[in-house]
Amino acid sequence: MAQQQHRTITGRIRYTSKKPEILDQERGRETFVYTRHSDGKLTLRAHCEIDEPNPTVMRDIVHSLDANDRATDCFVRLTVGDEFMGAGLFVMGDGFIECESYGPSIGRVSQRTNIEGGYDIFGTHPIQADAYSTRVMDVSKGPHKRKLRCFLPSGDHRGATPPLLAEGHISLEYLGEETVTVTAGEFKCRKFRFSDEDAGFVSKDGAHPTYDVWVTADEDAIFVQGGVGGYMQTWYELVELQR
Amino acid sequence: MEHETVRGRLLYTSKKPEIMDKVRGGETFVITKHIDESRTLRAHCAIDENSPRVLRDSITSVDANWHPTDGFVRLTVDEKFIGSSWYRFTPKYVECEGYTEQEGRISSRIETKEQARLFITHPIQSDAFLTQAYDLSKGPGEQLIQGLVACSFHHRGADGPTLLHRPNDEGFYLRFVGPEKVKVVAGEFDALHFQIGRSTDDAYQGREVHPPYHVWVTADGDYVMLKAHVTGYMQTYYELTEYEKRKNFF
Repeated sequence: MAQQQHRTITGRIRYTSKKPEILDQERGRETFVYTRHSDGKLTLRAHCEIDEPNPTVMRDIVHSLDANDRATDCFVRLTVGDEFMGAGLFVMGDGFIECESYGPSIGRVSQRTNIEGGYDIFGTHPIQADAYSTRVMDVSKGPHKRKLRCFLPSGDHRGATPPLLAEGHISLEYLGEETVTVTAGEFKCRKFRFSDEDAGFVSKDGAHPTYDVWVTADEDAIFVQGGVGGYMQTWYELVELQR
Repeated sequence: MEHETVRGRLLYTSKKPEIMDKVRGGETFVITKHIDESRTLRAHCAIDENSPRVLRDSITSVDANWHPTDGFVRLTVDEKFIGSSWYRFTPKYVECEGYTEQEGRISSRIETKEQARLFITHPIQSDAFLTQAYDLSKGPGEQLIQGLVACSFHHRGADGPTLLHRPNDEGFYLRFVGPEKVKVVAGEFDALHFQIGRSTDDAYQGREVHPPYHVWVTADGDYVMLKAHVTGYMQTYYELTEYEKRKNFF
């Protein structure tokens, strides 16, 4: 019998808080499955739940990239406060991104944005997607920092708005390698820091707080641990991994 | 969060003599029942047995009356991407926006007299959801189910995904055999036994008519697939091997 030739990675990330009043308490969770196809393409599916702060967010993402890590298509579905917020499809072409979306607050929307000069990442908001996006950095250069041009299905820091195309800019710094132990095991990691000192990722809460992530030091770039400071005070940890 | 979550895994095996009981694929699914009783089903399915080998992602939602509201299907066949499409259902039409390797960028719409009743996307758990269309108050028997829309009429769902419906809304027959106790790897359950389609000829080897398809689903109102068997040329068997139901998150 013929067999599928792809490779599958599944994992679970626990979301906790560093706010003093709910220190280390679980505030959400994410399961992800990603497929590395035999032609080098990748599909990431993530199911995410954010319980705190209100309103709660439930997100489903199916995001695919070509063999060069360029986004090809992405589906997003959101409920916020346990009410349907929206669902939409993003299709990436040569020099443009299209969005077909519907949400009770925005109605039916068709967007097509022409993009001059390319972009670095399509940021979809699951924590594992954040980790995978660090592959855009050339770690062979050693620690360094550069600005990223991003397109997103929501400009909100939690991704908690109906699917619509947004653009942002954020800095990403490669800080070097560290070995990290989490519930899922011990991993050789690369440490990165997202920062928004130029306020290129402003939402209703202001600039995006500094966000440190440790990802596996291999081609899979799996999220191991990380946290966001400032007003968010969130922490994330890989608790299950199978590959 | 106040929703309910059901998580499960289905094992696909074969009843063909040459590969009897061998694993030929599998499916994981997560169902959310929201507080307004709408539901979202996410299914990730792999069919390994010979070409066309299918890897499918399907995320479909229904309202409190089980009428489809929106969906998404993404397919790779024989390890090659073939399409990714989004669907939206309104009381007057169904629309599809997507991209397929064969057709390029697609936009299509089907006008409907009322909200479509069922959306066929081919995960086995999605097939289990079809059985909720049967009016159980009428007891065992056969009912014609209409208002059907599909992403593919290929028996494995291995093309498209596009937007399709049958001419003249011809629908399909659903037979309710009755309640049964069912024991599967995931446990023992009170079940409802249905047959999808009207064919009862297990020996028929043609492909024009879908072979007899027996399904057993949970009797608790969630319509979770417990086991299923397709005879004829397909000789496929499906069994629930993991099951978890929780208030709130999984």
